[in-house]
Amino acid sequence: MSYGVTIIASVAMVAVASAFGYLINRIRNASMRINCRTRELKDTSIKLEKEIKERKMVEKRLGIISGEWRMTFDSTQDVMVMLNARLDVIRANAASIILFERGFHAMIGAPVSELFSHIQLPVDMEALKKVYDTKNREARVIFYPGKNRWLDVSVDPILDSSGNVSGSVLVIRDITDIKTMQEQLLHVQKMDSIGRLAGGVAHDFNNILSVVIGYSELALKELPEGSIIHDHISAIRGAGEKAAALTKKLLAFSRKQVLDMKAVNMTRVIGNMTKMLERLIPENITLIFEAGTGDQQVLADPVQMEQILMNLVVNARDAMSEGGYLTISTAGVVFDEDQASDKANPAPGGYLRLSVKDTGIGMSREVQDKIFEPFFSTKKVGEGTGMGLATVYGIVKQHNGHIDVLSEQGKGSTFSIYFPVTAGETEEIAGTKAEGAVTGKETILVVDDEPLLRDIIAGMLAPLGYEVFEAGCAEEALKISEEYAGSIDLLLTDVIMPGMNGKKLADIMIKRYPGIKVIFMSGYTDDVIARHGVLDEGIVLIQKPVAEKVLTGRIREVLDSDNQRKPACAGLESPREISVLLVDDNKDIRRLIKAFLKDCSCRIDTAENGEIAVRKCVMREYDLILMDMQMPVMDGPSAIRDIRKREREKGLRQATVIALTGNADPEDISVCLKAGASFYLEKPVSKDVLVKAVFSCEAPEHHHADRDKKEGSEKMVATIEEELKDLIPEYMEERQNDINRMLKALETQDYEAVRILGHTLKGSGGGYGFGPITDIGLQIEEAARQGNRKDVGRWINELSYYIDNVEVLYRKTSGP
Amino acid sequence: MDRLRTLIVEDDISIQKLYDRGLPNETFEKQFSKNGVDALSRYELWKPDIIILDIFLPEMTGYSILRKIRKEYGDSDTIIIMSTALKQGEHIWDCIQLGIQGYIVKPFRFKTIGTEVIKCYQSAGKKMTDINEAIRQALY
Repeated sequence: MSYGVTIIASVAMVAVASAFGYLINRIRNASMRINCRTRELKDTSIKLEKEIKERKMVEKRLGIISGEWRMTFDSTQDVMVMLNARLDVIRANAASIILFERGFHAMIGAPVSELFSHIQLPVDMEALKKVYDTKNREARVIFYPGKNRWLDVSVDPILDSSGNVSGSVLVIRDITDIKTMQEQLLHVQKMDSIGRLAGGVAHDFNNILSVVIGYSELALKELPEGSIIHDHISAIRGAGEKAAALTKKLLAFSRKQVLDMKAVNMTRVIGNMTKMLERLIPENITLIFEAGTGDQQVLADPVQMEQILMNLVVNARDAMSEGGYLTISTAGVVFDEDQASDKANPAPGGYLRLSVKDTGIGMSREVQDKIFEPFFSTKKVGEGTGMGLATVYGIVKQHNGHIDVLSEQGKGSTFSIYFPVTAGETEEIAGTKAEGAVTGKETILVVDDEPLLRDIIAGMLAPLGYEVFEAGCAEEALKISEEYAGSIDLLLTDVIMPGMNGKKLADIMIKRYPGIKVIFMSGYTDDVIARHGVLDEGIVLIQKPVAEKVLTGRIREVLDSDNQRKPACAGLESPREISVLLVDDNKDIRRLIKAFLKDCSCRIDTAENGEIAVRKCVMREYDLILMDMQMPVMDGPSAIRDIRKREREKGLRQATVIALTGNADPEDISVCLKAGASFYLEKPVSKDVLVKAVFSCEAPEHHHADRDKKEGSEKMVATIEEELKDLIPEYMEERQNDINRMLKALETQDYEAVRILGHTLKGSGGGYGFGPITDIGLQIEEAARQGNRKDVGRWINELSYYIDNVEVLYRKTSGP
Repeated sequence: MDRLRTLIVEDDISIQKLYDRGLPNETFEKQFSKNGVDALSRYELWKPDIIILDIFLPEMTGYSILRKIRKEYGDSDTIIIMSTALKQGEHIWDCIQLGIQGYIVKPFRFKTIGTEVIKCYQSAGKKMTDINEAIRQALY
């Protein structure tokens, strides 16, 4: 039994055991799986944790990025607005608040059109909507009258992933400054090109006018005065002269005038003009002059300053037909770097501001933009040429000045002109010098049958230091000369007198005093005398009535003049024909000048260009050469150089060469004087001027460029230490070489070479005692640095003049 | 009595002559040079006491010459006086930093140039006792 039990037990045991083993196994498996799962869970949770961390970081980064974007959008001054498909505002940047004058909350959700209408910004909503159809950018420049600004408005579509327009970005940028600058630049360029055009036209135009005026003059002489044809032709001549005056103004605008620059005290210029200005303006306008403090001195041509002032005053007057106040004021002003960076202001530095202010009708913006253009006029046809302000503009620019205008319609206008201030002697001092220079100790014999006139003239001359004798007729004059033991230096005589005429008297006096100078005075015009054969050769004629300044100046000039340089004077004792070579490529001009000189005792040869002229000069010696500057084959300056070279080489007498120039461009003039021209005449040249120039071989006033003006006003003297005396000739010669080098460098536009030479001049001049050479060197250096050809040319010319004319005095000193 | 050996580096002949007149032979033994290369070779061979250097020279500037002498030759003893035309203060400042004993502003008065050079020489602390008298005699 027990055995069976045992068996059963053992069987049961086995079964239990196996069941147990199975259980164990399963448990083991389960636990393994649990372990595995736990591990997996753990991994997952780590992963998750990592993911969360990363996500947080991304979010953080995104937050930063979005913040950065916000900052970016808020930092720009451009207005940026994001719109949805319905054109409502979704986002707006900080600049929007300022433009649309609304807070963020008031903007978000609002239709954009409402923002625009709120500030009355004229945005084209249709164009904006178009972006949603075309998916293309739309951009417009609009003027915002409320703020007086120019805005660049652009809209770009925002496309979603499927390429549909989900919204748009609106960007508004203020481009007022850029636009203003562009306009200024355009304006400057436009004025420049008009100037160039005007200068170019003026040259040819002057040739045409020469013919018109010249032949009218000649025809008038043939016609009886009072006849209808005489009237007609005199009208033609009048019109031609007006056209010539207009051409001159065009040249002024194109900055091609010859300037006589000196240190000028502006207050004085204005002061001298107030009388005249008062006459220009009617009684219902009050003229006020406010002289400012500070620097009043500028380097300028006083005549041009007067011109500017007159044009501005006339303009102001015309703007005040109802009357008002006209204020002229001056003030010293300084522009610093900051102010100068504004293109509308002049370069940094000290300036004299000249303002002319009126309380008249003022001008619109459109008018203001155009006022300086030639021929622009708001006046009725026939009332103004439209050249007044253009002339002012040209003159100001030629003086390196700056002009601007402030104007409001109904309130008036203010023109402000800025001239760079300068140090140096003022015109005042120069003026007294000029007066000093007309004095003299020479003996003058005054002959006139009119006792009053004689008295006046004697009264002018005696205080200047001259010894003056008076005679009422030629016979009395001869008697005085017989009794007077000394020499008579100048005969100042009337031409037509009872008894012996002035010409006869002069002939006798010239024989008696070989060096005597003669000035005729006459109430008749030159050509009448010339036609009657009274005015013969190289004799100076002054027209009565004569102003004191003209007379005293002319007397000094004549006394100082050098006989030998004047071929026409050479044959005074036995009058002979003057041989003239006329060089011009224009057939009409050649014919005209021949006609002008028909009545004069001249033998005229002609040449069509410089080359022919040079050849003719080889065959024959001329007293006088009239030379056009611009010609084909060989131009005037080259021909003059060749002719002068030959004269030097062969030791020939120098012919008087008169340059004829159609455009009084200072550069051209300096070139022809440099080449060796004696002086120049501007076309159109009138018969009177030409005849006078041919006979006296003297330039009309101012036509030696800067030369003859200086001769009277300023003696150039350099005081040099005695010890350096032996070095001076060589030093001067070297400077002459410098001039040639600079001119050569200028030809090839090698400004660097010019600059270096200028620099060297600066270093040496003052050391020797030639202060002006140092000054001029400085100017040349500066002008070359700026590549300013005109100024370089002008200063080289200055230098050349200085070197040719400076009088060197030697000073003996001991010790330093 | 030793004279001051003075090398004048100046490309403009006219200014060279002014120096020649202004620096009396009794006091100064002079050599002239027109450019940097020549100036440096004279400097090496002749060993001048004083060099007057124009700043603005063609090819090699006075400033370069000065720098070569001070830096490459390491010579800080030789008296160097720069000469400069008006309004060039900015260059002078660079030179002063390299070590110069004075500068001359052109245009200079030839009458006083001698004393100016002597002053620069004196201020450099050189002994002047034996030549002082000669200079005085020469200049006054």
